[in-house]
Amino acid sequence: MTDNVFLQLKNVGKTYAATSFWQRKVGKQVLSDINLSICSQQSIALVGASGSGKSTLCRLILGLEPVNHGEIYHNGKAFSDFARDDWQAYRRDVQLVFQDSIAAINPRQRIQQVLCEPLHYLRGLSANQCVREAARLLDKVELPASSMEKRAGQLSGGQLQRICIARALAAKPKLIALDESLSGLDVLLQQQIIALLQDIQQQDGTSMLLVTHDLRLVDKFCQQVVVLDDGQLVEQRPAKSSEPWSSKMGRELSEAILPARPPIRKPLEQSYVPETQECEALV
Amino acid sequence: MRLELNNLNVRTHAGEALVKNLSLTIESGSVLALVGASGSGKSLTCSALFDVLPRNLIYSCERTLNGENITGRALRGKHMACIMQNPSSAFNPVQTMAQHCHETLIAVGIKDQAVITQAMLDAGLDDWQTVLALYPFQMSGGMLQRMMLALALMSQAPILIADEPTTDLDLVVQRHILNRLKKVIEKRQLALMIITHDFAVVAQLADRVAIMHRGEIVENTRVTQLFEQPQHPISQQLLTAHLALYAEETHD
Repeated sequence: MTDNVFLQLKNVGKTYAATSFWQRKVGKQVLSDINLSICSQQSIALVGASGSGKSTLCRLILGLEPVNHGEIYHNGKAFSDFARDDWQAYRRDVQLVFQDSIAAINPRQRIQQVLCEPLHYLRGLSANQCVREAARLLDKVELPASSMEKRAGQLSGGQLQRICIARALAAKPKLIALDESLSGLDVLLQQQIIALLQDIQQQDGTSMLLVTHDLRLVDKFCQQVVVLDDGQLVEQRPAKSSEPWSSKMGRELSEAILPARPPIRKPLEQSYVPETQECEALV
Repeated sequence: MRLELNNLNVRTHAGEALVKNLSLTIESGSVLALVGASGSGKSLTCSALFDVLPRNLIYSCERTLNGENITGRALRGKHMACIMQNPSSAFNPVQTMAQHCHETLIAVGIKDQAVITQAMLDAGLDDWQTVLALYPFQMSGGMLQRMMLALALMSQAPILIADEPTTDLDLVVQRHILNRLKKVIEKRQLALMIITHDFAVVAQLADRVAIMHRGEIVENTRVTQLFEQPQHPISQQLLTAHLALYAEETHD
């Protein structure tokens, strides 16, 4: 267990300093005292309501923002001791897929350029190799080769989200962070992308860091669930367990999942139908 | 109150048909859900109903309110109010909530200030005095969405159109908003059309559902009927995808 720890967070905290011209304000503590280990080939879900600090934690893990307290260790080496080379290697190992795929792709670049950029800079491939590899990636996310010449505006939201995933895969990462990447999509696209991610997970052994507020998605491809509430880590437990949630936020999130089917409406003979749980929750 | 939209056709100047011969009916006290994959023309239908389609589209339709013809212009505001998808961009950032409220009241010609209080209480903003003094950036997404509902109620419009009202919100807030909508509709006997792609929302809120695919309504039926026996292949596909999200729970 201890030898394949990919990332370790020790007492991590984050404060955003509220700088105001007129008055001195105290910083806002967004995260405090987070302890977490991510093993290689293990997928983790960060869940919580909006404003609970899950996206911030994701950004800290990716090294996009510095931590204020505590330390993050990658394969035993602290982020604060990272040299330039270490950062480069680390950024190759972790990749991020954003929620808003339309905003995440440069609209002036053709898809080929979008995919070749990480291949060239992170993997150092030659121009010819880049094109070949880009075609392979496109095939992997099940898009036609003709999309290579298109620009972002000519593709739909679901197709763009696949391009984002292909771009993340280009660097052959060990961890892919999905920051609400599945939330804005309609059911059919969501289903397709879940299947795609499950494939990637099984074929390449890539870990996923899923940031979401939708507990239904968690069981699809995560082994561990971490619940955040107001910047605190309140619960950590294996996914797919049927035990009741121990934290208040965990319970709240699981109750927030709407039932799959319509509740039994009150028909003419009212006394006959027992009040189901769904009916009670609505009142 | 019964609003009918008949033979809606939307096409581009190039001749590509985006919405074809679409007809739907919204009635007081009932909730119609317009469902479809992205790009199926749900939001275009909504814009056409309000007569706010972009100029580069050509469209034709007939709207009747209680059997009489009415223009989109006469319909909006007085008879029909809208709840938008993205609450954070639907408000004027330099106006307080009180200013938004007064603007709405002036637009519909209501002088009675008690309407504001009542609408805000109905929308679930119990702390309305504090909220009125706030600017949009001081409020969370859930609060803004409730405020939008309050503004819609304030106009006393009997028909509400909600275009993906909870897509951008987290599930806990979504649940609160949906509960609130349901209560308000029952209390005020409003007609609601909700546009969504989430079948859980449909199951929770709607009475009737219209499934859209490539600009056409392929199935228009009762919600319970749809969940029991979806007729059209597109409905079946969407419903299967939705139920797959719950696969773990149904096996238990």
